[in-house]
Formats: sequence, structure tokens, C-alpha cells
Amino acid sequence: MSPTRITRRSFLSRAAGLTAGAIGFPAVVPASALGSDGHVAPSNRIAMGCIGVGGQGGRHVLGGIWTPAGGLVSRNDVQVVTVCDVNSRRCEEIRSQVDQRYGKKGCVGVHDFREVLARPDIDAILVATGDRWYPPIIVAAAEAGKDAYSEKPISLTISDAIAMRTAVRRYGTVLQVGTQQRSSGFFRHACELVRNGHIGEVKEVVVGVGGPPAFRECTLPAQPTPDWLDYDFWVGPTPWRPYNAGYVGGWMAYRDLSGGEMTNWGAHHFDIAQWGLGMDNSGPVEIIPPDGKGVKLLTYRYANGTIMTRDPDRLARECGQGNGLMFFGTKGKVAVWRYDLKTWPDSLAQRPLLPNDIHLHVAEGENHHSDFLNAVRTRGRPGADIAIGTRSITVCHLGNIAYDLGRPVHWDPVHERFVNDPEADRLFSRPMRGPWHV
Amino acid sequence: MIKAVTLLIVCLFAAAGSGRPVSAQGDHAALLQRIHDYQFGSDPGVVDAANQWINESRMDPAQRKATARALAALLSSDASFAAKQLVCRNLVLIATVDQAPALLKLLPDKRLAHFAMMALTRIPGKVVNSDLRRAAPQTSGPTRIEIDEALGNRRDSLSIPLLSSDISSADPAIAAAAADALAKIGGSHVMALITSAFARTTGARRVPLGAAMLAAAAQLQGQGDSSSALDAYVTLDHHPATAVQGAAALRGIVQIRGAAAMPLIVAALREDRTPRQAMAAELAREIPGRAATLALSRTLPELSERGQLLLIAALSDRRDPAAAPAVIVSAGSKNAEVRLAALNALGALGDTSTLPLLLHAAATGSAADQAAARSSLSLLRGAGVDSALLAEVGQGPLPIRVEAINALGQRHVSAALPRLVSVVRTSPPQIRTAALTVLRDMGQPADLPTLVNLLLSTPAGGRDAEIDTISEIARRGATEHDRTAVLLQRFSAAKRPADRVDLLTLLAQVGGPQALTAMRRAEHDPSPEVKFEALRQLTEWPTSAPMEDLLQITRTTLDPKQRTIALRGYLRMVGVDAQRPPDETLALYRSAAPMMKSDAERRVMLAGLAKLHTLAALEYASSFLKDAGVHPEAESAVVEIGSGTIGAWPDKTRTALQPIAADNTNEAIRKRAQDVLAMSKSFGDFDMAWEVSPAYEKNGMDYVRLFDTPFPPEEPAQSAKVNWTLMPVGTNPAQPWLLDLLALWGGEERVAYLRTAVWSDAGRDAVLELGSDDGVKAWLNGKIVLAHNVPRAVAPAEEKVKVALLPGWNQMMLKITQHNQGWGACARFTNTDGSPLKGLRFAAPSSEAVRAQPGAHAVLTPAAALRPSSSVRAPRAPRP
Repeated sequence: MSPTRITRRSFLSRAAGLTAGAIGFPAVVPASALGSDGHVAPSNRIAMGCIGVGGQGGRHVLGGIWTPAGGLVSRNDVQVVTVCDVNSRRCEEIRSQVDQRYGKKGCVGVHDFREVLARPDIDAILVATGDRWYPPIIVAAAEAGKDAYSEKPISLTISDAIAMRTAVRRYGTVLQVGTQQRSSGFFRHACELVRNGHIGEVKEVVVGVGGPPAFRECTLPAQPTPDWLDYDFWVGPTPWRPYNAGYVGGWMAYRDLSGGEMTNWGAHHFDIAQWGLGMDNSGPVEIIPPDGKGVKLLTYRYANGTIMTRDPDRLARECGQGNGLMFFGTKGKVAVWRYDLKTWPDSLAQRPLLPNDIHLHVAEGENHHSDFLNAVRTRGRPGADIAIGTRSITVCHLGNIAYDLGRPVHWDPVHERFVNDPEADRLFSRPMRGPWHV
Repeated sequence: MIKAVTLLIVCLFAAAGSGRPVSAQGDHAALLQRIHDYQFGSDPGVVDAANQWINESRMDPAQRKATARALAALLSSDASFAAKQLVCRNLVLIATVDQAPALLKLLPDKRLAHFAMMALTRIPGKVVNSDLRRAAPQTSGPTRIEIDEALGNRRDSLSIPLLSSDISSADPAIAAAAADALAKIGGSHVMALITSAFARTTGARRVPLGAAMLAAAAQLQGQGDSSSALDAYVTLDHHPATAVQGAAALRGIVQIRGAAAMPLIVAALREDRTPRQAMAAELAREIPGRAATLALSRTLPELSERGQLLLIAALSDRRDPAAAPAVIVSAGSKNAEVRLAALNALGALGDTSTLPLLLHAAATGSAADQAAARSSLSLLRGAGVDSALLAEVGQGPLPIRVEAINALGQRHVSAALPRLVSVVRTSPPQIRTAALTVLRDMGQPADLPTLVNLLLSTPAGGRDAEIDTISEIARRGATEHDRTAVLLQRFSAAKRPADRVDLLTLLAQVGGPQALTAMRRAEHDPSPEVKFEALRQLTEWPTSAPMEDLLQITRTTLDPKQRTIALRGYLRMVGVDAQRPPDETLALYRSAAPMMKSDAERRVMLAGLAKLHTLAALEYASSFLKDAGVHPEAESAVVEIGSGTIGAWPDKTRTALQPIAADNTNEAIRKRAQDVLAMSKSFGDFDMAWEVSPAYEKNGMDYVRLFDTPFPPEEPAQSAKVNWTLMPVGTNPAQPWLLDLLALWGGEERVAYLRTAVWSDAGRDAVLELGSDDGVKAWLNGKIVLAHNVPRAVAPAEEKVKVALLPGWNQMMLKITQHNQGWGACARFTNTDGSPLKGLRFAAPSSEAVRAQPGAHAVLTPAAALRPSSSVRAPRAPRP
């Protein structure tokens, strides 16, 4: 192998352009290598392309709610070199703001994510396109050797999540799922209390994920497609239907495009439940939906007998917060939500983590971006690695499938397939609309 | 045509022999007709009805068959695209090979082909494979890709010839999909086909073939055919289509060859800035065994700086102590980054033997080295580490001993507490300080007797660190008794004034009713020192509980010094209670005025007054401007009050501020006044005259549910008791129009209300433009005019609602929900054509102007009027 590489410095100094050449991996730049003024030479920064810069994607780039403070452009160790969106207005708006924040021109706006992946100077990508697009983009990114921060929920199906994991592992790239609760000290603390046995044997987990169990089909009337949107590209791998602004502005309400709240908030809270239970490489064995009779709640059963229910109302009654989760053990309880946790007994929360205890992954500065970029530098696994994300989103999808079928389903977490259930198998995957596939 | 469809459907049911009652069939016939007639947006209910029908049918094989057949019949009818796609969706769970012919007929239709594939791919069995193979040649582009993918996913080995042909397709996307599909089918025959194609292909078209080789090799590997897999990996390793594929091939080789492939990993670690080096760093974590650890460790000194950094991180993740010796060597590297990485890694790899190195680095290294070494000291595992650290406390150079104490604290070694107490008594200041810090962090209320003994045995005048330590530990008590009993008991028993003063200080720092009682009693202590300390602590009490005590002392004491201290404490305390209505606070200041005998006392009062954002406070503060002794403080107070009143009383506030903005007495105050005046100009036509309610929460409710949960401002029976205060404005220069509730109340999952009065000289139609973060519900003259339950950031005119303004004062109230982070709102009115609406005036609803004028319309309304208007929208899912 004798790659002819274009240096990142020279590439950054001119605008975009697709140039043949091998992929360069980022320089190892520990945070401490920042100069005394915190400045990192552009050639040593991790060059990023940001794909999907609508609401959440834009906030990742520029800062805002639900993303690390200041966004990627405020980091000394990152250079956002391109933004990509099929919404040309949004693309230009964010591109322009990136240039403003850097105080110089240089960020390029593009329409097609494949242009981003083809740039040899780009080390890593941020993807915030919506659930439907993550599998094809992440698989293509892995094949191109790009590390990726992918927003959640990472897929519309179990099958696609597994395909993402396979590609990321095969090509040795880093993938951080945007489940930022994995970088939060509160959630880590709660899970460490559970994992170190401080509440005894865990018997039950109550997860506070609200919202309806199923969302509407796409039934909105056709509207003229705006000239600033490549609607066909926006629809991507999902079934096409005529444009309506309601889809673009509210895609999470439609099952073609989203798993609803089960995957939206579920990707966060079921993920923490798996973390606390030590099930990051496993999952439940039976999923029981409400049946209108004896079973009132979506209920998961793990092989060790632990029961997990989706019950925001009980969570609110138990701990005063309906949006989080709570572990019930034989010797105590731990409830955790964004920005705080509560224990029974109270003193449990003060129990220190000792050197010989189980220590869970610590994100630098409790910052999910930093954790990702650290993994990019060291080639280690980030806190919300794709293998973890795949298992967590599987839990969410299993819940939706049980709701959809209206009956219990049995799951084999070792082989990641349903147990003798041809009907559930029909919902394990969805074909993608051509030409997209994974 | 409708009749024909119905007839067709009824016949189909009869033919299926479903056995369902005729009436039920009739219901489904009507539903099928609705499906046939369905257009996007025309009949949303048909979707739910169809879903329900499918769910009912699924449970009964005969019904399921009949339903699938009836639905599929629509695919051959003249139904619309919308109808047929709906049919395909509903066949996903129930279609069988019987529906395949109808579905296959849709494949030539570019819009419907994908929907047909949605159902076809869910039908199990080889018949569909055969159907798809036959259909493939008649398709192209995206549909052909979908078929190829489906055949691959279905592991249809009979499609290998078709797919082999497709990998040579002129359409590169079809070729790539075919290669991918072949790899999914897998097997040595497929591998040979792909490898052959790879060998004879050049350029970009090799890339998907290489990817397919990797996928097929992985499958062979999983099936136990490691030999064939290895051949493929070696081919790709030698002739990769891309560098990334070469790295992936390396991974495959290492997985198969295991430790025998170590030389490849080592070689790749030397290939700086390549995908192979990155892959090698990952493999260095994965390859198992101590021998691998040792082999990798031996390599460490031979690598470039980048290679060393990657390998040290990998060795750290392996957590195998066998790597420690090599990493210890790296910890002495002259390269700062390598040294730092090694020091960090030793936390995972080291043991007792690593302590001297880490303690030395923590005591003497650069700031970065110290941080890394301290972190590693806190993480070292092993039974002997704690006792070895404890031994270091009493020997060696002072900096090393200090680091050992710090490490014991970081490691929460509670067994070290007696030793640390002993160290505090006998050691030099650096050691003593470090030990007290650790005691403060780890001590528990049960340790208080020992620690108070320690305090009282320390010479008076040098006890500050002990007092801080003890108060911190005492505050950890679960009950007031736990927190204060030992301190109260020792205070009662103490004889020496110096001891009593320090114990009083401790009690004040811990707080609580018992401590306050002790403080009040100590006010009568025979010792002047103790008495003075008690007064001092009362003046600094964190709540306003001792306010009356201080007022009493001010009025009764004959000691001028005591009087001064008590009065200043009282004036400070008047401003402590933020819950007291500002008018009452102002009245307290006014009543204290006759007691204020010095400028210093008036200055304290003016500092408190500045926090009252009312017109009366503005006028009262302005009355001190003529007092030369407090002129700057009065100006400062007027400007601060004005910054709060500029929205509600712009004219009077400007009148008060303009002389100060032109005054040369104090540059900073003048600038501040100018800024407030300038800011008021940037309000534009936004309504900035608002009063705000307290923030409300309800146990466990998130912002979505709080939206429709009524709180006192919207409850007629409780609204009169709401403590409305003036809303601060202009708190964010970038968004001068923002009513920033986050800055005011903070918090998450809560709501607050804002209210304003809008004067219109005549009845008129207008547009209310609102922005909110997060959801907003708006009442105008008691009627809901907008309800939008949504998480979002605030921006002007996110909502535009046509409203009717009545002549005179119109009352408007907003309910703003808070999810997390930003929280606020903005509002203005325009004409219905969007042009600026002139002639409106805004005022705080409780202001004199509004209360005095007739025509002020009710803020609230009976529950019947709370029904949503046409502007009410359903909540949208947030994206967390």
C-alpha cells in the first residue's frame, strides 16, 4: 500500500473537491496537547463532515439543547469542513454560521452525503438525518473508513442495527451513538450502584418512556414540494408518499420514518436499563404487550427473571419524575433521570465508588462529543459504542413489535432472533426503497 | 365502478369460504370500498380501520386468508396509488404465496414496486424466490436493486447465476447490490465468483466487490471454513481496492491466525496514519492472552510517537498487568504525550509496586503529569495498595506524604481516618492541611466527637481549617440532632471564651433552629467576645429568621457599636426574603429610615432597595439622589431598579435614568444607565410590560402533561392569591425581546405564567405574534386563543393568531412550559396584514394605570371557555 495522500492542511486551505486517495486517520492529539491558549493547529484537528443539519444536527454543529455546550464548532480539536443537507436552505444557513463562528470562509455545503464520505481529508462524520438514514449512511461511512457520531434512534429495524454493527466492526471504525445519557455522571453513578450490588439483587426496572405505543401511517394530503428540498432524497430508503410539510417537520409521528417514543426516548432510558442490568451484550427473552386484561403494561422479562416495565406513571409516583427509570433491588432502589438521581436508602447515593468496584465507562467532562473524539484519537470504544446501541435499540424495536402484534414474543438474545415466530420475523427487517440497501 | 368493486369483494369472500357472518362481510366490503377510494388526506380513519381488520384476521387462518385475498384483489383494480400502497402495507403481516402474483404485477410500476416488495419480501418460502428471479429481468434501476437485495437476504442460492450476471451490469448501483446480495448468500462457490470478478475488475467498481469478498469471507469464517476465508483476506490484504478494505482484511487474518498474526499487527502499528495502523490498535485490544500482551509490550519502544500513543491506550484497555513494566518505562519518556499516556494507563495496569513512580509524578511532575498520576493513584486496584499508601503518610519527603494522603482520600479509605487525625495533631502544616481536607471529604457525623476534641486541642486563632472540616461533616447529618447535638453539648460544657466563640461559629455554619436558639442565648453571654460573636452570626444568618431579634437589639442596645452592627444586619436581612412582596419590603425599608443615622447605613438600604423592581422603589431611590453622602449609591440603585422597570413603565423609568446617563459622577453607573436606555429602544414593538407568576411543578409530570394541568393563575378560585412580580426584561442583549424565564426561575419540567395589559383605544382585529420555549397557551380577555404543546427554542412570531382587541385595557396571560434548558417567550401585535400596529400601550396588570381605568377585562374565564380554539395544535414528539 503506497497511498498518495493530500495533506489535510492543503485540503482545508482550498474549498471542497473530490480527490482520489487513501483515507488518512486523524492525528492522536490528547487534550493536553492543546497549546497554552487551547489552540490546536488546523492540521491537527479532527476534520468533520456533518450530515443532516436540521434541528438536532444544527445544534450539534452550533450548540443548543440536547447537545454538548457550544457545539462542534466551539471545540479546539475539531474543524467542521463540510455540512450536508437535502434541505438547501438549511444547509446554507448552517454553512454560513459555521464560517461566521470560525471567522473565515472554508466550510462547504453539499447536498449528497456520498460527497462527504468521498473526501479523503475528512476523519469523522456527524449524522443527524433521522432514523431512516442512519443504516445506509453508517454502513457507507464504515466502508469509507470514516468514524461517526450517529444520532439516535439508530435504525427503524433490528436487522438494520445489526448491519450497522457488522460494518463498523468489520472496518474498524469508531461509532458513537447519540445516547448522551451514557456520558452523564448521574446515569453512570446510578448504574454503578446497581452493578456493584448496593441495591441487592435487581428484581425489577421501571422505565419512564411516555407517548403513544404506535404512530400514524402517512396519510397527509399532497402539497407542492418546495424548491429548496430534494424530497425524494429526503424520503430516502423509506416508502415514498407525496410531499407534505407535516412529514418533514414532524417525521417522528410516522412509523414509516420513526419508531415513535418507544425509540425516541426509549433509546435513552432502555439503554440505561440495559447498562444497569449488565445486559449490554444481551437482552430480554420475552416481551409482553398490554392485553387489555391482566397485563396493563409493556413488560420485558430477562433470562435471570428480572422484569422491566414501561410505566412512566408508576415512576412518577415512586420518585417524582416520570421521565427516567428506576431499579428495584432486594436491598434498595435507585431512580435516575436527567440531571439527578435518588436512592432508597438516601445514604446509598453517597456511597463512594472504590477502586476495586466495577467502574463503568467515564466520558471526559461528561461530554458525549469529547468521548467520541477521544475514541477517534485512541481507537478505543466510546461509551455508546455501536454494539451497545444495537442491543439497546433492539429492546425498543422488540417493544414496538410486541405492540404491533398484540401478543407476547420470545427473543433469543444470543442469536438475536425471534424464537419460532414467523409472524414476528416479518417485522425483523424492512426492505429499503431502492437504490438504498445495507 | 364502485358497485363492481363491491361485487368483486363479496365474491372473493364467498370463494374464500371464510364462514364469517354476512353482516361482517358487508362491513368489510364497505371498508374495502373505502380503501379502494382512499386518497392521501381524504379518509385518515380508513388506515386505523384497515389495521384493526388485519389484527382481527391474523388470529384465524381462514379469515386471514380471506382478508389477504380480498385486499390483493384491489391491486388489480383501478384503485389509486394511495389505495394500492395502503393495501401492500396491510399485506405485510398476512400475505402468502397466493398474493404473490398480484404483487408481482406491480413491479413494473416505479412508484408501487417498493410497496409490492414490502409485502413480497415478507412471504416465506421458495416460491417467492422463484417469482422474483423470473421478474428480475423485466426490471431495472431501483426495483432491480431491491429484487437482488431480497434474493440475497433470502439466501436464495438458485439466484446466484442471476446475481453473477448483475455484478457485470452497466449500472454500477445494480452491480454493487448484486455483489452485496451474493455475499449474503455466501459459500465457497460464491466466494470464487466474487474473487474472480474482483481480479478482473479495475477502478471504482472493485470497491463493492472487495466489500462483498469481506462479507463473504466473514460468513465462511462463521461457518467454519477458515481456510477459504483466509485466502480471501490475504488476497485483499495484498491487493486492496481501498486502504480501508486492506485494514479490514488484516482484521480477518488476525481473527483466523490468532497470535501467529502478531507480526502483522506489529508491522501495522508502524504504518503511521493509515487505516491499518488504526485497525492494529483495535486488534491490540482484542487479541487474547498474556503472550500477546508481552509481545505488544516489547514492541512499544520501537514505535513512533503516534504508534506508542495508540499502543499504550490499547494496553490500558487490555487491563493486563503484564504490560505494566513496558508502560512504566514509557512513563519516563522524554516525550510529554507518551509520558502522559503512560501515567494514565498505569491506573489500569499498575499495582503496589507502581506507587513510588506515581507518587513521585504526582508530587513533582508537570501539571498534566500530576493530574494523570493522581488519577491513576485513585484507580490502582489490589489489596495492598491502601495499606502501602498509609505507610507512605508517615515517612519520606513532605510532597510525597501529601500525595499519599490525597490518594487515600480519593480512594475513600475510611480505615485511614484515625491515622489522619493523628497526623493533624503532630505534622507540619502541609501534611495537616492535606489530612484535614481528606477528613472533611470522608468524615461522618459519628466522627464529630473526635474532631471537636481535635479542634479544642488546637491553639485558638489557628483553627479555621478545623472549623471548616467539622462544619462540613456536621452538615452531612441526616437529622438536626445528628448535625448539632455534639456541638451544642460541647458548647454548653466549654468554659474558655475562645472555645465558645469557635463552637458558636461552628453552630452558625451548620445552622438550624437549635443553633439559632443557642445564638440567641449567647447574645446574653457574660463574655463580651461570645456576645459579639453571637450578634455577628445573627447578622449573617442565611434566612431572615433573626430579623426581629436584630431590630430589637437596634432599638434597645446602648452600645453604639452593637447598634450599628445590628441595624446593618437588619437592613441586609430585609432583602433576604425573596418571597416577600416588594411593596412590603419597601415598607420595611421606609420604616427603618428614621433609625439610619449614617451614610453607611443608608448605603446598605439602597443596596437592598436596588433589587425591588417597582415604580414605588424607583421613586423612593430617586429621593436619595439629592443626598450628597449617598449620591453614587442612589444613582446605582435607580439604574438597577430602572433596568427592571423599563419594560413596564418605560416613560417614568427613562425620566429617572436620563439625568444619570448624562451625569459625570461615576463612569460605570453612567454607562449602565445609557445601556438600559439603549436597550429599551431595542424592544421595538414587543410587549415588555409583564408580570410573572412563581414557577409551578407537579409531582412527576413532564412539560407535556403540565401543559394541560391547571395551576392557580388559571384557577378562578386561586388566582387572586398568586404572587405576581414584575418580569425582568432585557436580560439578553442578543434577544432583547426575550422574557427569560430560565434566567429568572431556572429548573426543568415546570411552568410559569406571564400576564400583561394591552390598551387599545378602539376595538380592532389584530394578529398576536408569539414565540415560546417550550409550549405556550395564551388567554386574551379570558379566552384561550392559542394552545401549542411543543418543545422548541424561542423565536419571534413562531405563532401568529388572529385576535380581537377590545377598547380599553385587554388582559392577556401566557402559560409557558419548560422541558429543559431554554425557557421563555416573546409577544407583539401587528395589523392583520402584518404591518406594525400603532397606538397600543402595554402595562403591568397590577399597575395603577390599569387598575384605575375602566374596561379592564377579566383575566380568567369559566372553565367552559377553556376549550381549545382552532389554533390549538396537538403536541409533537420531542427529540431528546
